[in-house]
Amino acid sequence: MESLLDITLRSLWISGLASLVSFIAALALSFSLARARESVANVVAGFLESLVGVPTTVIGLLTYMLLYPRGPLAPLNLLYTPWAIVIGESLVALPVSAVVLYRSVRRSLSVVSELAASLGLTSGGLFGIVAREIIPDLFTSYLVGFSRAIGELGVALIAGGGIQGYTNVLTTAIALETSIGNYEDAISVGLVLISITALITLALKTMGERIWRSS
Amino acid sequence: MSKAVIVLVLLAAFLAGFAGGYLFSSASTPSGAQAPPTRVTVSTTTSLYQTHLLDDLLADFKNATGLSVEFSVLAKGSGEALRLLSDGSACLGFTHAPSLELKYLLNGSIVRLSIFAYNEFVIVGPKDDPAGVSNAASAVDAFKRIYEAGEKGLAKFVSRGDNSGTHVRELQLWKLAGLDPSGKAWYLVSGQGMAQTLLMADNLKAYTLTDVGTLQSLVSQGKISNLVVLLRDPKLLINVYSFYVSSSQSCRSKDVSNLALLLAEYLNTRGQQLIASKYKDLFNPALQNLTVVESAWVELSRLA
Amino acid sequence: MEVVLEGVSHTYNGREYALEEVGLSIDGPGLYLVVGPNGSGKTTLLKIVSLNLRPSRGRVIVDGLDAWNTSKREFAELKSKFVYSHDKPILLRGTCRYNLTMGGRLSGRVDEDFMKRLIEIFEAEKLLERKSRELSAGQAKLCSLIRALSVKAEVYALDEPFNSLDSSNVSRLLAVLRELSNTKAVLVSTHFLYEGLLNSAKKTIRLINGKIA
Ligand SMILES: Nc1ncnc2c1ncn2[C@@H]1O[C@H](COP(=O)(O)OP(=O)(O)OP(=O)(O)O)[C@@H](O)[C@H]1O
Ligand SMILES: [Mg+2]
Repeated sequence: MESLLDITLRSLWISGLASLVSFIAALALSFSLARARESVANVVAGFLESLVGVPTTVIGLLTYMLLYPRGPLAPLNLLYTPWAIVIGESLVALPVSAVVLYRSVRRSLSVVSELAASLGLTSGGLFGIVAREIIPDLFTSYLVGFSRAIGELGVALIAGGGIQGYTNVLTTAIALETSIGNYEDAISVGLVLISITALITLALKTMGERIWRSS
Repeated sequence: MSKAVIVLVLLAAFLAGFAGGYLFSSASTPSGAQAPPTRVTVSTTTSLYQTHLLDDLLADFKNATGLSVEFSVLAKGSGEALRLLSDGSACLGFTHAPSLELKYLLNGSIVRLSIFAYNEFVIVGPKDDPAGVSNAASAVDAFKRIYEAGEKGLAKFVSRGDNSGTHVRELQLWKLAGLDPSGKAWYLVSGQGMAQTLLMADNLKAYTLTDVGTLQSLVSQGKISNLVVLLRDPKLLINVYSFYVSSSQSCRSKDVSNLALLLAEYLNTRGQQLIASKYKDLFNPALQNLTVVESAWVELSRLA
Repeated sequence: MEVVLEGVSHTYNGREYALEEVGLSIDGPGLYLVVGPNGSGKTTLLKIVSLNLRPSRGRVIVDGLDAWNTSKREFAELKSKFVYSHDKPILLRGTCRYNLTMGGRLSGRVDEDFMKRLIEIFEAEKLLERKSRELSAGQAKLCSLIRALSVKAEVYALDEPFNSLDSSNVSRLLAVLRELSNTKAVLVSTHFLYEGLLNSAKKTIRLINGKIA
C-alpha cells in the first residue's frame, strides 16, 4: 500500500475540486431555478431530490461510458485519471448540493426581490445580496457535496480505477485492501476518511458561523 | 462587503482543492525526467496484483529496458479485465480465464502475446471434510461430492460469482459434473474478490475453489483458521496466466505496440527467471513447460 | 406626478376580494392618509398604488400611462418614481448602515444629504453599526424608514410608519412627512389618527372591507 498521506492528499484535492465544481453548478442551478416559474422549479427540484439517491456506481458507469475509448468524450483521454474522478464526483455531489441551496435561495430571493421592488427596482442584480444572505447555507451546500464526493466509491473505482500512485483515493484504497483480505489496513484508511470528513465539516461550519455572526 | 465574503468562500474551497492538487502534481512528475512518461493502462486479475508478482515484473521490466513508462494498474476480475481490454480502456492485460479469453480472441478485440506463468487452483474446505473431497478421484468427482453433501445439508460452497477466472473455472467444473447448484440454499454467491470469498468460506466452514497465490498470502497472514487444501488436480485445475494487448483503435499507437512487444519479450526471458527465483512457491514460469501449458489452455478454453 | 386608480379590484386567493372597485386619484404633492380597520385593504392599496402589486382587475394610470400595459422599459421608468415601505421592515443581514447603503445601491438614486439629515433628526447614529438582527422593533422600523425616505422618488407609500415608534419619534416623523409632502406625494396608512396628521392631510381615504367609504 502506498503512503496513507499520499492517498489522503489525493482524495482531498480530487473531492475538494469536484465538490467545488458541483457547488458552482449548484449555485447557478439554484439561482436560475429560483427565478423560474414556481411550478417548473418544483418539478426540477423534485427531480434533483430523487437524484440524490442514485447509487454512485451508476454514476461511475455513466462516467466510464462518457470517457472510454468509444464514448463521446474519448478524445479528452481522461479515463483512469484523477480528472475522471473529478468529473464523476461532481455529478455525484451536484444533486445534494443543489437541493440544499435551492430552497434557501428561493426563500431569500423572494424577500430580497420584494425589498428591491419596494425601493423602485424592477430587475436583476440581486445575486450578490442573496448569496450574502445565505452564507451558512452556502457552506452547508459545499460540505454535503464534499462529504458525498469524498465518501463515494463507485466513480473512483469504475472511472478512476484505483491506480496506485495515481488515482487511488481513500475509498478505493479501502475497497482494494478489503478485496485482498487486508482488513486491518482497510479499517485504518476508513478511520482517516471519517476523521477528515468530521474535521473539515467542523472547520468549515465554524468558519461559516463566524462570518455569519460577524455580519 | 458581500463580494468579499463570496470570494472568501470560494477561496476556502479552492484551497482545499488546489493545495492538495499542487502537492500531488509535483509528486507525480519524476525529477530529472526529460519527457513526461507515457502512461499505459494495464488491467490485471487480482491474484497477480495481490501477490505483487505483476508489480515486480513491471518494475523489473522498466529497470531492464530503461523505459520511462508509467503503468496504471487496474486490479479487476478477469471478466472485467478482458472487457476493459476489448473496450480499449486498458491496452495491456494479464488474465487467467481461457474460455473468456478465447471469445475475445475470436472476435479480434485482443491479441495474445505470451503465456508467461501457471500455477494451480485448489479445492479448499473445512478440516473435517464432511463431503469427503480429499478422497475424490478428480476435481469433477470432488464437486459431485460437495453437491451431494450440500443437498444433505452437510456442506456449503461459496462461489465468487464475479465472472473472474476462478469463477469461470468453477462453473466449468459444475458443468463437467453435470450439476447445477445455482439457487441451492447451500450454494452461496459472494460476488467478491478471492480473499473475501476465502474469508467468508473460512468463517462459514464452507468449500470453495481458489488460486494458490491468494490462499498462501492469507494463510501466511494467519487469517485462515478452518480451511485446508483438500484436493489438487493438475489436469483440471491448472491455472494459466496470459498476457494480452488490446487491438482497439485507442491502443494502436506505435508506442503502445512497441511497448507491448518489448514487455512480451521481457516476460518470455528475464521475467521467467524472476518468476522462478522469487515466486517459486506461488507461480511456475510457463516457458519451460510451454507445450503442456498451451494444450491445457486450449482444452480449458473449449470448456463452455 | 399623478396616479389614478380606475375600478381596481384585487383578490389574493381568487375567492375573497381585498379591494373592490376602488377609484382614487393621487394628484401631486401632499399627504394622503389611508385609514380603516384591520384587513380592510390598506396594505393592498398602498402596494397597488406604488406598483408593487398588480391588481386583479382595473387600471393604474400614472401620468396618463396605463402602468401595467407599458413596455418593460417604460414600466421600469415609472416604477423608479415610487417607494414603498413595508409595515414589517425587511432588513438584510448586516448592520443598519449596510442596509442604508444597500437601499442606495438597489434603488440607484439615493439622496445622501437627506439621509444624513434623517439620521440626525432621529438621532440614529448609534443605530448605524448595530446588526439588523439585534435591533429592537422600533429601531428596525426607523432604519427601514430612513432607507425608504432617502431614496429619491415622487410617490412615497408608507405602510404603518408610526408602528413601534415612541412618541418623540412619532412627532419627528410627522414633521419629516409634512415637509416631504410639500414636494412629493406621501401616502400613509395608519391606525393612529394623530391630530397633527389629520390636520395636515390633503386627503383621507377610508377603507372598509376593501371598499372606499
Ligand atoms: N398575501 C396574501 N394572501 C392572501 N390574502 C391576503 C394576503 N395579504 C392580504 N390578504 C387579505 O387581504 C385582505 C386585506 O389585507 P391588507 O393587508 O390589505 O389589510 P390591511 O388593511 O393592511 O390590514 P392591517 O390593518 O391589519 O394591516 C385581508 O383580508 C387579508 O387577509
Ligand atoms: Mg396592513
